[in-house]
Amino acid sequence: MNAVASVGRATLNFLAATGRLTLFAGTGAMHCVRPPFHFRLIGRQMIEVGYYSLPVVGLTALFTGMVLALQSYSGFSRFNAESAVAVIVVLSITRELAPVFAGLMVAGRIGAAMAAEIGTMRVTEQIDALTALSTNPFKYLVAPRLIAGTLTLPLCVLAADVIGVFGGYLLAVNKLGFNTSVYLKSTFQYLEVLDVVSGLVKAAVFGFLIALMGCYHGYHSRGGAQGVGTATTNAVVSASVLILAFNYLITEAFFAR
Amino acid sequence: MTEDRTAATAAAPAIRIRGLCKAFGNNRVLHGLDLDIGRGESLAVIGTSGTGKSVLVKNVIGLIRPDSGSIEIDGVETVGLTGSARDRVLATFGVLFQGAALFDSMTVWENVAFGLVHNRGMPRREAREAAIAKLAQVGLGRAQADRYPADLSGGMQKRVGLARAIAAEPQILFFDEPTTGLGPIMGEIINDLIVECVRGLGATALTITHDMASARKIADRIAMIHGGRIIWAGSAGEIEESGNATVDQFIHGRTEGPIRTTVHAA
Repeated sequence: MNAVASVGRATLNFLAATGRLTLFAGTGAMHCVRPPFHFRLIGRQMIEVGYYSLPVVGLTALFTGMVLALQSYSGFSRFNAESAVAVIVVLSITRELAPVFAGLMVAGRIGAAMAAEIGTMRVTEQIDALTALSTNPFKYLVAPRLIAGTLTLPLCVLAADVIGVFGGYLLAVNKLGFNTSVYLKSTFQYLEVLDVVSGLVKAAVFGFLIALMGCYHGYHSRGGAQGVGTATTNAVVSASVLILAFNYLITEAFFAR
Repeated sequence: MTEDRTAATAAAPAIRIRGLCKAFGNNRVLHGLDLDIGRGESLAVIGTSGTGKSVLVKNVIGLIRPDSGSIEIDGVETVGLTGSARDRVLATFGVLFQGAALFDSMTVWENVAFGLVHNRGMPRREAREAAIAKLAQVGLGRAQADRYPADLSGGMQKRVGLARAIAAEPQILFFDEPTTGLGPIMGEIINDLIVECVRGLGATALTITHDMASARKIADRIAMIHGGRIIWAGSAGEIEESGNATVDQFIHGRTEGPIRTTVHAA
């Protein structure tokens, strides 16, 4: 009986948490589209999410592109299909690897920072102080972060697309002996607009999810330093899992025939 | 017994609370609390920790929604208010939080001017001067205006919190444990500042504290909360002769008496 009860309790808790999160997301999204807008705060968050994430996202993309070229070359050369390397690199980077890796890196950087900042504001009563100064915390704290995440991550991913493909090109031309013009030509020959666009759509969704998880866990953190620590961990883990799950769902929506 | 009728004589009280109930899970913190605070009156609510003093204030401010009961501010029911109606009520409030709750991402003057900039749309330059004037009122110089809260001592943070609370010239001020965590001298300075600010604004004040010296200094009237209700209320001078065993135990800090645990049985 106890086992059944604990399954039931876990199910109820899960449903309650899902409901809370959905309400939180709905309220947050509503404040994103309803004026007034705090442009100053949105701008600051966009710099934080986008500009300061560029180095780490760029490095990740560069090495991913290089590894991809190396691995696909060593695989395809076994059946004389080396010419496919350029296509493999550009499609994998734009469709999957740039958005997913950028999402995961930004989740670690920004999701954690948001959860820690908002969580600390919660436990030191700063969020209560905001409310008491008749400022809606959703409008002031959550909406700017959601907007910044959704708008800025696609820009990061666009940069990661270019850098990742460039990484593959560098390795293929310098190390694997590919001809520059042939490699570039086959890179662009099979690339379609949809490949890039699907990656950017993913990035927008991931950006929203990262900011949502950071804000949600921070907003609901309690119990001092330990609570803020837990909130930070939860924000990164849940954002990472959601990124991978939504990556599948969006891929399915775009490319399943 | 639970109410003091002398307070609500003239006009409608600034704050009128009836039958306020709030529980967290099985823990019933407030049940059936009644309290009146007259216009321009300074009332201190005393009580041991865990008796729901903070919960009471958070209900009045609207940070927590009560399970049942009524809270009228200037004759207007505020329970269940949301959006701009809630904002209109909040605009008449000033709150000094226990840990000052300063926004640590902002400088001191930005903290003080927050309400002026965000709610009244005051230009930043003008708001900065207004903030510096408020800081002077709580004994802080222009030099502190551009520092960050983390660089200030606890007493200075409380002063900035007080300056922020009075910046928009509110009609009702709330002080949550204003002297907790401060030394006796700084505590006395903050008490003096609070009295000065409340008188200067002609505001109504609700202070919650377990510091009797502070309560006597700040308040015209004192109410004691115990077991989720107000068990005694009277003028600050009368508290020594309350004739109530619980009140006597609390104000003299005795370990023996009707107050047994910090959290009453659920």
